[in-house]
Amino acid sequence: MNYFKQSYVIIFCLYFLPSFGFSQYTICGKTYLDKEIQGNILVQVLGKDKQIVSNEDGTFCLDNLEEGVYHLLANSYGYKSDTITVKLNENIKNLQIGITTEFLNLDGVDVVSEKLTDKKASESIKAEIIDLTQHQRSSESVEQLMNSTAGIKVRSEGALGDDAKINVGGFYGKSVRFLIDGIPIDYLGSSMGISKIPTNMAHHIEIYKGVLPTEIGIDALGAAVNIVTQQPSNTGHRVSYEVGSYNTHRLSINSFVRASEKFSFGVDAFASYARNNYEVDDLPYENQETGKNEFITTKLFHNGYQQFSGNIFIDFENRKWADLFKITLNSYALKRELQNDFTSRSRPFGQAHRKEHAYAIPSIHYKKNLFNNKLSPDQFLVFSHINYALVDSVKNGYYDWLGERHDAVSGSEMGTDLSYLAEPIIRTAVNNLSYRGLFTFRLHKNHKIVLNLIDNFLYRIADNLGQYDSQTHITYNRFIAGLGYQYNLFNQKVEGITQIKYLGSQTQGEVTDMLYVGKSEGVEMGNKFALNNGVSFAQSLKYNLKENWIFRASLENTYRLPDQSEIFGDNVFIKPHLTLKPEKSFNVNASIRYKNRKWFAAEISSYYRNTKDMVRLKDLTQFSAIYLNLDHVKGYGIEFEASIYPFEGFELSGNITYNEFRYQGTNDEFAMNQHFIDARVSNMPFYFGNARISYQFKKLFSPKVKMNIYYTYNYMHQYYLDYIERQFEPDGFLGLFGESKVYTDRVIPIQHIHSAGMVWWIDLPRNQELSLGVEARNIFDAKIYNNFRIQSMGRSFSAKISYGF
Amino acid sequence: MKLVVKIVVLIGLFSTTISSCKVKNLEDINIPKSDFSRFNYVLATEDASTEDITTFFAYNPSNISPNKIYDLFNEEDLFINSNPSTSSGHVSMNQFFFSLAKDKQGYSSTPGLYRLTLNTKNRVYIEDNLSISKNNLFPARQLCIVNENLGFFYNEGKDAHKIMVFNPTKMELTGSIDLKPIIESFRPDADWVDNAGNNLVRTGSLVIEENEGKLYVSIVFLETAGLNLISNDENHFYLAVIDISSLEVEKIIAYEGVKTVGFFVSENKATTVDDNGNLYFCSWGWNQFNEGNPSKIFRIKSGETEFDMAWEIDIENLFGQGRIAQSIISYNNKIYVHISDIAYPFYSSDGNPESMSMSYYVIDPSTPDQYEQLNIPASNASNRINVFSIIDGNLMIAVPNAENGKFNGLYQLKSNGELEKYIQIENKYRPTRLYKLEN
Repeated sequence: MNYFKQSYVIIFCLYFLPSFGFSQYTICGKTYLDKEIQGNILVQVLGKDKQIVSNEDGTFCLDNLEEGVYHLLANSYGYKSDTITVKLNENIKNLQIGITTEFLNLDGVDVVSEKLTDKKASESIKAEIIDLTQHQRSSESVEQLMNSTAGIKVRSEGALGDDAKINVGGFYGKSVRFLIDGIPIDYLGSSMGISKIPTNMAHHIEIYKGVLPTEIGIDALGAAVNIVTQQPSNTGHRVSYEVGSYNTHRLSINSFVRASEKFSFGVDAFASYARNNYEVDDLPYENQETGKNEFITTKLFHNGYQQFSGNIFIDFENRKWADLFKITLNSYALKRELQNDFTSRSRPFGQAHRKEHAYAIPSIHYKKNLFNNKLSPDQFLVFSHINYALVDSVKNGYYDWLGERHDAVSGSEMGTDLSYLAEPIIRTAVNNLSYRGLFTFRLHKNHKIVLNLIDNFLYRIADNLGQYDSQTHITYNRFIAGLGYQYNLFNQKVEGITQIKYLGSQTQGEVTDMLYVGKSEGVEMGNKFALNNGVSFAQSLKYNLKENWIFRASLENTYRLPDQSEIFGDNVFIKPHLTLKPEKSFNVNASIRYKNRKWFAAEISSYYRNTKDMVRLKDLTQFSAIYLNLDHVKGYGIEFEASIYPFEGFELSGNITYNEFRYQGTNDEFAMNQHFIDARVSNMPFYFGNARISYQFKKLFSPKVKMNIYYTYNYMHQYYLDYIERQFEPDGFLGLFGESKVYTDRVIPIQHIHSAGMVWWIDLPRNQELSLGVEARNIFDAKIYNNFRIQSMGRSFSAKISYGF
Repeated sequence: MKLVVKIVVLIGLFSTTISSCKVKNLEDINIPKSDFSRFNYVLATEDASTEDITTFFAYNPSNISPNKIYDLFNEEDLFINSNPSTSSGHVSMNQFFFSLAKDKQGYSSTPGLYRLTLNTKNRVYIEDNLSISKNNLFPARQLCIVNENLGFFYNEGKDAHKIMVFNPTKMELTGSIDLKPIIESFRPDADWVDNAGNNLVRTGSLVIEENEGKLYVSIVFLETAGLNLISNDENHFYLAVIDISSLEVEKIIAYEGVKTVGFFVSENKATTVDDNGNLYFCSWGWNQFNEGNPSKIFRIKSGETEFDMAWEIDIENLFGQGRIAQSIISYNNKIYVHISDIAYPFYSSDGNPESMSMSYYVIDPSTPDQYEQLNIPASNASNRINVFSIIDGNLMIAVPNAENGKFNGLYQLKSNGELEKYIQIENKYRPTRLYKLEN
């Protein structure tokens, strides 16, 4: 038997043997949340392939258990009970297992109940929670789900693997930070981008639109996206395959094996392939005879995407020396064909592409509660070496939109000056060493202190496009220390978090060009060092007004440190700017939420931002640009979201967001744009809404067969690519309708997108499940322009089959 | 029932909120205008803060008062605005004018030969276009229209060493002129491409001009393609001379002491022909990051096809070190130039034009060492477009000033020598060109 066959046998045995056994007894009881009976809570038997979700009335029964000692845990959506140990030699009928929600626990769990999702969304720090577990069976994408959330707009061309940018609560671009399990996502490159990961790869996504919890250690201005991965407790496996329009195929595997109470291991992996060859209109195609540009409708021909990502992990748990010691090895590789410039389709590329890989990213996660759980250190260490390559290999040629190549005298396709490179590939490598130490001190059941230390060290080596056989070297170290005090007061009527955060960065690299900004400010060439720091403060409060009402408010002054590319440029076109300062923002957030558990929930939120010294790239010459602390932006946003559940299984939900963020001036003495003061921030959606209607058949011919059908609608209001003076905006209420005084082509028009789908699943014996999800997106094939004026994907279909066991 | 009513009300509110959002600010259908007796003057402006926002305003001159300062968007009855996302172009013909760039973003844009006119609502729109390839390094390209049936432009991405011949009425290519053979014989050792394969010999990127039956096309031997750099060892400006009737390339001529003419953008045409048939060239002197030359004006005399080595205006000698001439036009046999008041700060680009002060001068070609300053307020720089145009026999002079309180608009110099304000506009609009469209 060769090595692979032996491995398969071992893996098969490890996966499936623990699930065979002979059982005699039952454990029945009720689940509680904050001392009140609560249904839909997952009860797990640690070390066994056994779990159950309690009924609506909180009752549960675990049967077919052998005589012995069992450790039970109830958990749901970031909260879990203490482990309950029972010695089973007879049936147990009234076991009470309870969860308290007094403090956030960032541990992930398996199943999320709708009510507990709301519970999490009711924390003192407001976050939009996208519960991916609810969508693992469906073929909805993470990007779609985020786009349907109040206050959030994802900007991309809609293709699998796009570089999606996100607007959150008035922030966009680098002002929005991404994390994975509370760690800055940089160490995974772009592999976990929101347009790349399948829903199966994460448990939920937290989107913070104001103050961040201390556990989220990052220098965001007030918006951060935290992808929380699956953290299963019991043996389980899921395989999903999705097929979609434009040759889209996605395979994902999640497997977790609990070998014992103290040892488990697993793998999460996905592979994606898409040609993304959807049809778009108005592509310029030269008639070779007349020289005229004819505007044609045709399919994209070089827009494909491939990715493999995976991680294997082993967990050592409940040891004397560790509550959790987890070793993970991540690996990924991706390739993205580049069809056009990122802002226009004026010309196609036929061979240009981008590649990225990191074959082994080891990480360690260590948790150990000390002093009778008074102190809970949680530490994470990771190293990655990521290789990036931009391949621009077409020499003496160009492509037209029908994919035909023509001769030309040119050294590259994209315009990259490759004269100083041995081959037409620009290579960049980034070494990343990150540490996160999260220390929780429980002073009292209603008081705790959280200290979060994050250090992120990057070493970037990149080809120098301005010098033969030369590379540039930059090191960047970012250290963030957050200290938060969390408390419940007045019999848990008031919950609050007071926190202070120190942010510091050190950047070292070579300056190869002089810097001139306005008044001939100069920096000598050579190896240079830049230091930035700041201290931010945040206060958030939640007040339970009465049974169904929650009022929340928070304020903060916060910073975003410039990153290495903004300080040192690219040694070619972007000049260095060592004295670049952090962006800063003063934010206030408030919301009031009403929830009638029977049929209705609604929340209205508002936020105010006053952001200064925003970092923006400014052209200096035809061939040079520099990042400067330029713009000041101030404004507010209002979001309204509501859900109606008139009868069991039926849900109608929707949200509307209106942002009123306006330009307030610049530090650029030559800007000459005073007339745009008070203009709406350009190229940013400001009014959008979503609606969703769904119905779940809890019993379709059989209690084991269920089906969910849904219909979604997304609206995005017109917005301008350029600044428009406030006085010339459309003259209707809030500029939402009426006639503008400015007639311009540089506008993204109003868009309506309708989608529908269904998910069907059947519970099979032995905790197995088979599901099928199908979806039609953009049913009416509306023209969508989401990123500049680049037309996005039109109507598309997808189907996803999943098997869980 | 009560519940259903609530749901219906909520859905109704949501639907009403969304569906009531109708905005009118685009023309869906453009029907070309046929009557050009009214609203046939078009003023092009760039936003004071960015060249990316170019707006065209159609108006009737009879309705304009030179003493009023107009906020153009606010005067909807007088100025009908439109932004078809092109730059303003230099050349106009009958009811059309031509732009060479669309969808500008800083220094980037989509090249093309865009023909614009007015629609029945008097809004400017792109009526037709010819393709210009967005070559990898996106060089400048010049346009020359000889008559209604003959024009020339450069399209490096398609044919690096050819000049395209087209019919501007039909907007169709009719041929091309290949300059490679004569360049090969003129400079046998020329480096045609760099290590990566980029073109190092550009034709028609700085000059395409016609005069007395000849077409003059610039030839630039680059050292670095990406940055438009000409070697410091190079000390000449080269022109190919082409016979228009036969499209035969006759020769290459060289002018010493100058490397470039105009600027490395497409729409600041730096050549002019006077009434006597003398062809003038204006060099800023800039050579990007390499060493430049003093700004100069030189010429080819009427009846000649060689440079006039006996005539030159050396801007530095005449006005002061580092000062440059940025726009040029000949009017009534005199040369009008737009000249920097101090040394032009090339280090920060053509950039920060608002920080530069430029004044207007007239020079009589018969006395090239003497000049006279026009009684026009100094303006900001106008690097991308020529400030002079001739409309209705008058010289129209754009005076862009972004600083509040300074004159911003156009002056006109009439054929009788009378100089007066033509229009004043708020400082947020930078005037670039004026066109008169007619059948």
